[in-house]
Amino acid sequence: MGAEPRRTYAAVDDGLFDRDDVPLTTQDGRSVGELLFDVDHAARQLLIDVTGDDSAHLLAGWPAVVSAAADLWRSMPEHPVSVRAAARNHAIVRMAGVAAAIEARLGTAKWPGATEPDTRLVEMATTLSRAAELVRRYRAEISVLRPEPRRDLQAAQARIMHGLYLTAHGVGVSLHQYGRARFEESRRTNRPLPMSVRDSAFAIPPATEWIRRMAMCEKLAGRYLDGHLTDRLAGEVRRPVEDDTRLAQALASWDIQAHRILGSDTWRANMLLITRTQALITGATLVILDADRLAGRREPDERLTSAITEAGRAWSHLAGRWADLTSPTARLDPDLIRTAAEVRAAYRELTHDTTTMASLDAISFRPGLTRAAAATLHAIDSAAELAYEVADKAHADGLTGPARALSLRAIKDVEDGMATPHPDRDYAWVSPADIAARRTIDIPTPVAEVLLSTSVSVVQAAAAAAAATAVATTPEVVAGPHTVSRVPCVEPAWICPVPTSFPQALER
Amino acid sequence: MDGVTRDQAIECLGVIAQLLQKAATQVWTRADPDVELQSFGLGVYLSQALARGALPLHYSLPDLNREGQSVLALISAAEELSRSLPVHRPDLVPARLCADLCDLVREARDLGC
Repeated sequence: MGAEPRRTYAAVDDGLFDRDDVPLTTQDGRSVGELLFDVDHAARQLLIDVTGDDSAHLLAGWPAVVSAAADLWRSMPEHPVSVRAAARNHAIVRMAGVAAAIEARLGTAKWPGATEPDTRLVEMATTLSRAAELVRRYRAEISVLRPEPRRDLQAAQARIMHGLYLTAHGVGVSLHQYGRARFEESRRTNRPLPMSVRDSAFAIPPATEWIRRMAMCEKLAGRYLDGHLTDRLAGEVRRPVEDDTRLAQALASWDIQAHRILGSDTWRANMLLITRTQALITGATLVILDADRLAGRREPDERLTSAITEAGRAWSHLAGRWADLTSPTARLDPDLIRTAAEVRAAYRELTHDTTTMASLDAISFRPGLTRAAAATLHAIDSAAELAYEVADKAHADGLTGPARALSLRAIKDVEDGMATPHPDRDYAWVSPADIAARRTIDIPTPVAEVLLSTSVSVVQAAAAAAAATAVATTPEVVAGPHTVSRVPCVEPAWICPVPTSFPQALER
Repeated sequence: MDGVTRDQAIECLGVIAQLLQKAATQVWTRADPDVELQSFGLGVYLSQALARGALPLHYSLPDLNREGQSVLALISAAEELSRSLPVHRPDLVPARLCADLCDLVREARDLGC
């Protein structure tokens, strides 16, 4: 897509001397860096504002953006013998290939059909083309043999890729929202939908193939930006995500990683994340069980509900305690961050409607809910064991925290009757000098006392919840004709996954 | 292009981490027993951890006076700051951070935080 011709100052010469006229000149005064910054900004704004209604237009606009980006990339001079440069080029070449395939397929696919491209993407493509035009004009003056211009070019390429990464993510978010809307529509109208067993629960035809392709583009850009050039990606075999087991897998990985961290020397920094994630698991479990009950697949179980509610409250209280002892500068374990993020994402797929909570009625029809209920109950069961390990940490030597927060906490704990008061009623648990100097101090006695009692409460509540899950009834399941997973599908026909042999044409 | 020095980028990441820390704390104070807010708070905290992980080991986060600011304002401020980060430096800026911040802004806005 070429840049539109713009008027020059000479073309509005008269207007320039008219005091009452502000002529719309015209020459785009932005530098290449500014143009790329604007593309990045537009991509962020797109991601912030994106909705499912935009999906068709975004998809239609995506190939032009990549094409303009690839053109800009090609316009940049490169080091004649740099192997790294060739590897870097591989990413944009592959993405351009995927985008070209998308463009070709858009011409034949039933959905989205002939549709106008999203105006924001059109603007981005135009801006990228303008940048390419500028680079070509001044290309001869750029010496790629000197390190500074070379670094500048690499920065520009990363900026291009970052814009593509954000945009691809935005298009993916939009397609998922579209799939979710289609699912809700099918439920309202009682029209069955064939569902993919490979992708996200809401990768629903006709968006399935587009979601896969956009995920590929996002992955290519993400790996480039993370410094993993895509040559290693070329022969990668992507294991399909069997969505029915996503939550089970996420919770299993979480359990392993949490135990691993608690057994390592790095546990202190990670206690807040562990306890907060456990609180989320219990809270989300209640929602899933309620929804499963609403769908008529589970008997009401007051004992189970109240035990899990109590466990959630206990984990939350303990998380609040560890928050006092966790410095904002604490460096968390990257694998724990990743597994916690996956647990959060897996729950949200079931419990959320785009960015906010879905109604229980809507959740009750979500695909994979019954399997998710079994997985999350298993996590409640496993949490009892984890609680012991977490509670042990309250006995550890050398627990510290910021003086001010611990002073306030100590005073409040004593006032609330949760900790034993000092015989001297005016006793200062924390030295004012430590507070003034914002020091990190050893945990004061009342705070340590309540940390211990809260930890004991977590152990008791988690054990009670685990005991209640043991007697919770697991629904009887009957294998249906469309069953493809290890656990037979017991959900209504319209949310049963399609068999793997389901004709691709019907998926699209 | 991206004439931000390493020190400036680190300073910027430090402010982002602190803003997200304040946002997460604010969300969690009213999260119990609201699963929606628990999940949101965890998302903010995970992004904070991502930003913090990109900082040097013993880096002290700056003091920020953002009393009375909403969660949306705090996260939006973090997102705006992230625009100046040198995205071509994977050793300094995790690729996911900017996308996560945009997702969080959308979420905070929809939740009315």
